[in-house]
Parts: sequence; C-alpha cells; structure tokens
Amino acid sequence: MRKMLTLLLVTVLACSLGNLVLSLSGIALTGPTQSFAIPQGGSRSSYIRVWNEGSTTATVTVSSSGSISDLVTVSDTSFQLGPGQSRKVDLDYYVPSSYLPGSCQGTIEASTGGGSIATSIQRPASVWVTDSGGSGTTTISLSKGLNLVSWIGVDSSLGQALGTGQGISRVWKRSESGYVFAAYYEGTGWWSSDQDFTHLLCGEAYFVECSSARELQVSMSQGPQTIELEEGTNLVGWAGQTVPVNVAFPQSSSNHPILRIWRRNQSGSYTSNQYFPVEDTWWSSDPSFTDLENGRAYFIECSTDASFALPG
Amino acid sequence: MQYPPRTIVAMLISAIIAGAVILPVLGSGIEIPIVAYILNAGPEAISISVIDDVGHETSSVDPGVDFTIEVVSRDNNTAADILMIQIILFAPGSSESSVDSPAEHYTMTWTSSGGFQGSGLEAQDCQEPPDMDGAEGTWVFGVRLAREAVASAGWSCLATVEDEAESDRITTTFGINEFASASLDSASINFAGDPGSEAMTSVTMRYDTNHPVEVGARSSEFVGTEVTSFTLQPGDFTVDDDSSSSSPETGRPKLVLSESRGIFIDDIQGSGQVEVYIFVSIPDPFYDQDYQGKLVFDVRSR
Repeated sequence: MRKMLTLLLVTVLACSLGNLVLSLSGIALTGPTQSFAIPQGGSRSSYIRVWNEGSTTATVTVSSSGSISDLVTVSDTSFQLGPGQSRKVDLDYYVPSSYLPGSCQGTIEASTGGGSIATSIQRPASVWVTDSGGSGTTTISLSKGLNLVSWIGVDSSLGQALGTGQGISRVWKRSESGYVFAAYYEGTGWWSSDQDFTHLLCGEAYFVECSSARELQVSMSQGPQTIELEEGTNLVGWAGQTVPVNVAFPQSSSNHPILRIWRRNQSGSYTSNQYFPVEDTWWSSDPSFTDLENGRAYFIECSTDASFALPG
Repeated sequence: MQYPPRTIVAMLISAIIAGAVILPVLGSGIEIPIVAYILNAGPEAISISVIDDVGHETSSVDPGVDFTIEVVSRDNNTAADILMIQIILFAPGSSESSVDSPAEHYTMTWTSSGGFQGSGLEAQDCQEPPDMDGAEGTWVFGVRLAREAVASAGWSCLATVEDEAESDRITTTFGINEFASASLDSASINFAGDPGSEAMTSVTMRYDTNHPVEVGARSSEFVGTEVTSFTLQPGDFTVDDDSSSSSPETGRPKLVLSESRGIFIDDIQGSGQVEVYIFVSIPDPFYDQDYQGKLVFDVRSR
C-alpha cells in the first residue's frame, strides 16, 4: 500500500515563476571573525549581523555551541524579522579570572525556518584564553644592556611603571628632534628634560637601558587598534598579538607602503624583513624573523604614509 | 605668454630689488606697481579612516552594510583649491589600476565641479567640508560594498587628493567580513512510498557567499502527530547533492544524518543554487500521519 508521509503540518508552498524561485525561508549572516585572544579576567565585544532572506516574517534564533558557550553572551537569542530586514546581535565575550588558559572552540549559529526544514549559518568562534597571572597582568622581560621594547601595559606614569628604577638606568623615547631620556634621581624621582615625557604609553616604543636583567609585571592593555606610519623610518611598538609579518601588514604588489622592517637583536645588531613586491612576499635573511612579537618594537621604513589596523 | 611660478617669483623679486635700488635715486615721487602672485601650495592627504555604521572607527566592514570613509585633506590655498579626491578600494588579488567589479574593486570620486560619484557610493551619506574657506577639510564618502565583495583582511584603501597642479596620496588597509546567505524554496517536505522502501524528494537551496563555505545538515527525531509511538530517527534520513538514480555520484557520498552536523557539500563560493536530495527510509510498518521534527541545512565557513 502506497502511503504519503508528510513531515510537517504546513502545506508545501514551493512555487516557481520562470527562473525565479521563491525563498520561503532563508537567512544571511556577516560580521567580524570570531577569533580572539583574551586574558583571564578580560573581555571582548563583537557582533554578528543577520538578515531574513525569506519571503515572510521569520523568527530568527541565535545560539552558541561548544566550549565557547561558557564565554559568550548573545544579546538577542530569538527575534522576529520581516522579509529583507536585518539586525545586529551583540556578542560579549568574558573570561572569568578562574578560567584555565587554553583554547575554547565552538560556533555561533543563526537559524530560521518555522517548518520542518530550517536554514542556518554557522560562524566558527574561538577564544584563546591567555594566562594573566591571575590578576590581569603580564611580564616584560628586560636584559642587561639596551632593550628595544613596546610598552604593553596600561598607560602609566614612569613611577607607576618602573617604580624607583632598580636595574633600569634610563628610558629613551624617540621625539621629533631625536631621542630624549628619562632617569630616576633620588629625591626627585623620574625626570626628563622633555617635560612631556612623564608616562609610558601602551603601544609606544622605548629603549630601556638596564644595568641588570629584570622583569616588569604590568597590567595588560589592548593599546591602539591602528598603527599610523609616515613616509620614512618609523619607530613602532607592537602591542598586538604575535602574528606573522604578512598578517600584521597585509600588502600587495600594487600597494606596499612598507619597504622593510628592522628588528633589534639583543646583541645590538639589526636584522630586517623586506617586502618584495614582484614576488608579493616578505623575506628575511634571519629565519627567526618571521613574526611581529607582542612587546617588541621595530623600525619600519615606508615609501608613503599608511595606516594598518591591528589584526584580530 | 605664460611664465612658470618660479619665473614669476624671480621676476617679482627682481622688480622689488630694482625698486629698492632706484627709489632712493629718484626720490619718493614715483610709484612702482607691484603685482603679487600667490603660489600654489600642494594639497596634503592628512588622514584616512574607515568608520562603521554606528560611527566608530573600524578595521573591518560588513558587505551589504553602509559605512563611511573619511579623508582629511589640507591645502594652504584653502580647501576650495582642492579639485578632486579619489578613493580606490581593492582586494588583495586586484590592483589599483584594475577595472571596477563588485567583488574586488571600487572607485569613488569627489570633484569640485561634479560632487560625489562612483561605484559603491551611497550618495545620501556623502559630505563635503562645511567650510571650504579653511585650509583643512573632511570629505566623507558613504559606501556600501556588494555582498560578493571578497572576504579578506587585506583590502587596500587608497585616497588621492589633487589640486590644479599637484597631488598627494595616503593609504590604509581594512578587512571585508565574511558573508553567507542560504535559503530554501520549501518549508516542508512530502514523501510518498511503500513501507520498507526508500523515498526521495528534493529542495532547492540558494546560496550567496563571499568566501568558501561548506554545506552541512543534521536532523532531530520526527514524531508522529497522531500516534507518537511512530517516529523517524535522524539516521532514517540521507541527503546528497546529486540524485544517485539520475546522475553519477559527485563530490561527497550521501550523508546519513544524525543529531550532530555532517557535511555533504565541501566547497562552494559565490552565488548559485544546488538541488538538495533528501532520501528517507520509510518504516515498515508505519502509520500514515504527519511527522514533526526539524531538518537543518547550514552553511559554514571552511
């Protein structure tokens, strides 16, 4: 006996008009890549944007799955959208201080379809939980001698950042006219001939002259999200995540403002990583110089003014 | 006869020096006309910023959503001396000189004579500087890129500022976020077949993406609406991107569904549609009634 099996209480409404196929249910999704490094106790805001691509008003459901669900809050988990309408849904990531460092993976999913068939768009999401030493701090390691570093802590006065300067002889920064330094003087505290040099700023580059090796515990900061470069040689601190040079500075054969990046080695020598436009590639004779490292500073040669957003 | 600016300056200086020498000799009764020429000062492209739909500076934008590009320029002959500002947006696989295309290349121009025009421009969001008599001004380009604008972190944004004689340029990079759309032409499916047989039907899935995606599916249990003891389990369903009875197997083999997601199409990108074939093993015995549950077809970044 031949029987009919209907997988829903709703009548099939598929219809066609010439080559036009009417979409009964559909969804679209866009938004930034959901991949972040967040320290313990830290947070990050992001979003997705969804559209109802169907021909009738639809209920849209937004959810997270996988271990990422522990860390993300979706602002709107269910809402209605008319045909063609869109909504921006906030995603707030928060890593509790007690959360163990490591990787959390999962998906953010937006779906629609009131019948037996639903469509959904999934967006992979991952959070790399970094160790903050339990208090949202990180360490800047300084060797004896001259160190070229990026300040990756929150903007701090010299006294807050460096205390009474044990082991640190001088801190130099580049100014329009050359270099100026600050030093710690008993009874006076930190002092510089440049009256504006009173703070260390996140993402700024500094030469730190040390009489002995030491480590600085600093409160982590995100720093500026954009790096502004001028034609000529720039001294730039890298407060972003450690990433390959080509990710930090995406260039193309037809648009390559950066000619070369110089890294100071602890011995005092410099090695460079150069962009070759014809081959569209970065290359360094130093095989260890493939990444821009969080906490280091670099000299960057530019052929023209440019700005780059920090990746991730 | 036209003289270049430097010649005019030299002539002017010569006239002033001659006047300074001759005046004391002739006394103060002779007037020497002096004509002042204002030299052209080249325009400067000072900054370029990408601003999202809520007014925040951003490093990436959504395709199909309005945003703005703000160019701050300076000309010491006043902003009114700036004749043209051109913005070129292009994907990593494209170049400054490529032809405009929704996927990879956009050119937008403001001219003092013609205002704003170009591909991707949202005219209602464009703005000239309110005061063209000042040296510095901000030009706001309202932009909306097509949904097929290639997803990449390495788009270039190049602004060129020109007056009648000179030009300056500034560049920045920004990202285009991934976009994916999927829709179906059916909200339900009907099968007809004998108990113990396999029945097949199909639905059309349309897709629209600016990056490679895979298509997956999963199913819940389907429960009879009248006699709930009759059910269809996820494993009773199979999906494929081809009907094996009418064409040879292409791509991945059939996917037997489960409550967890499985993939049945590996790699699609751009716009198009696929016929999704759904097979169901009809139970024996089974009760002729409606069954309720959920089949989910999804699109996910590769």
